[in-house]
Amino acid sequence: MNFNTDWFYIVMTIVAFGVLWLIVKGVERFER
Amino acid sequence: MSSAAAGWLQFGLLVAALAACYIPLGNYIAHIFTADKDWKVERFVYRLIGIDSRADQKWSTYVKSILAFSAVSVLFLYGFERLQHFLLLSEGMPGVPPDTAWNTAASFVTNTNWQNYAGESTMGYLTQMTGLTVQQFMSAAVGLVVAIAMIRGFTRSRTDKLGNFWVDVTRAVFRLLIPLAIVGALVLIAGGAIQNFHPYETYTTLSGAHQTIPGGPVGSMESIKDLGNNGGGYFNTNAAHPFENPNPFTDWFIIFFLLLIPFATPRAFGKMVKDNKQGYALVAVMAIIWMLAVGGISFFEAHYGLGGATAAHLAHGASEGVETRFGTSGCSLFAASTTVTSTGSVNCFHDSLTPFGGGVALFDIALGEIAPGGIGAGMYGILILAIVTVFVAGLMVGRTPEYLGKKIRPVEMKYAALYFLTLPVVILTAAGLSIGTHAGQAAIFNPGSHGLTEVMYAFASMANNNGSAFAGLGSAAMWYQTVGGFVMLFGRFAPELFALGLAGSLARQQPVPKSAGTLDTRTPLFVGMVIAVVLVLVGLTYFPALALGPIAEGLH
Repeated sequence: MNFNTDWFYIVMTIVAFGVLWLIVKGVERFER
Repeated sequence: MSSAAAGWLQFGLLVAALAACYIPLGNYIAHIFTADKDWKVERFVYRLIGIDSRADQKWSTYVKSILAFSAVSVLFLYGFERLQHFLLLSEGMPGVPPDTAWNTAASFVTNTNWQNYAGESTMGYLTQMTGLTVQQFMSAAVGLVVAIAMIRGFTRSRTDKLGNFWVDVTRAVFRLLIPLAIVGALVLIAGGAIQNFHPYETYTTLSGAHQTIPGGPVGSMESIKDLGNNGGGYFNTNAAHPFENPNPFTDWFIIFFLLLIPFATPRAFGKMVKDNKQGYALVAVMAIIWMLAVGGISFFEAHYGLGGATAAHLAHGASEGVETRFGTSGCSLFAASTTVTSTGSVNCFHDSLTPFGGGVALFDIALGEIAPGGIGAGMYGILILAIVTVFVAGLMVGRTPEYLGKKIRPVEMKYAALYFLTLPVVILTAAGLSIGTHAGQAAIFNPGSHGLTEVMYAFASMANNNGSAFAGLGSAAMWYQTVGGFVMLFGRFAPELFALGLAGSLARQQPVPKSAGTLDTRTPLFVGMVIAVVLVLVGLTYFPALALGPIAEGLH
């Protein structure tokens, strides 16, 4: 399977920023 | 003039120029982020993007704005690279392959500028000028405004607001980066850096071979590349290329430019917290570590193999991979300055540094951008180190753990711990996976200690958003492109996230008055304590990897 495609890297971008976004939400929850 | 004398002269002039700029530039940076009035062009930008410039954001909203802006930037730059063959001024370059385009997009948006490509044979003029160079402005501005928001954590009280990201980033670009970058570009172009849109020209050399001479808007990119601690060069050989860095004067100017804002930011900090001596203390920490780095690399490069290696002896030091126009001392000063900041531009080949010299460069990067660090990143990094120092000192000598009137409580220490744990976890996990998997091993071309150093250096450089490479590693393999992209994104934004969370926690506090138990954080003693904490923290974290890599190679 060829992973070197546009869709793969668009999904990777969403995954990376999604995880960072979840960390922010987690820290916000921890603060409360 | 001998090489050593030239090195000392260059270093002395550098210190003098940076000292002369410290107060005026630092005061100006503080003014930018405390002024009430917006410029007309700034108001136009606010209307265009639909934001209320008076609406401050809490820390988590500030972080979300950074993440949203950066995610869109990555996708936009990725598309730009992939579609460059449809755009103007592509110079016949095809679209950049997906893995290289993604790695490069993540790299330039995170201020890393790790480059798995040769600029002159991969990127057209428009991609270099409006894709990559624009991100060199924006990523630098993002780093700076995180530091400013962090400082506001100390200056504000009983609020959860740290400022407005969109206002801060707009001001950083229009009031600081663009004006200074224009001046820098003019100086570099006057010094001989090229700036044109000429098509590539092919000439026949005296020996009958054909040589292609590239052109391009190089001077303008070179300026912000260094001013914004980006480091991504127009050409593959970066600042060793004569079109980017034509002579010893431009070489000196580039080093000055990449140190300029990071060394002036502590003054802005002192100004904003209304205690300039606090700024002097932190800039002293930065300067001492930078000088130790310059001295360390210079020593090891200048004394390599004396009495044994004839070529090195004749060249007054290790000469492999050194650009002869700048010499060993010019290489050492540049290498130390580019690795203690998060710049990563190079004027010599870091893989050819002596084992201990390369070890110092790796250690500089592992310090995590604090001496003086990347634009903004150095400031928020050293502020968190100062907080850790205050806490440790408080435990050791029975002082109240407080910094600038804000208590350092368990919640602040949790943020600081998360900040410091993120980078080692990211770097060591990525390096471990690369060494332990077939996909990673396939691109490690040098065996033994040197191979380990190359892998460690690559991920330390990417995670700390430095961008210089040790080379010798097949980092253009899809494994390194993809893992590297993640390492750069997490290495940049996760620490910023925790730094802003810490700032939010500080801003909510009511300041406490000074008492007899308050540790004075403006003294030489505190400067020494911060340096000790930095060296112990980084030394203990990376010592096993350093021991198996550069130290083992050097002793062998």
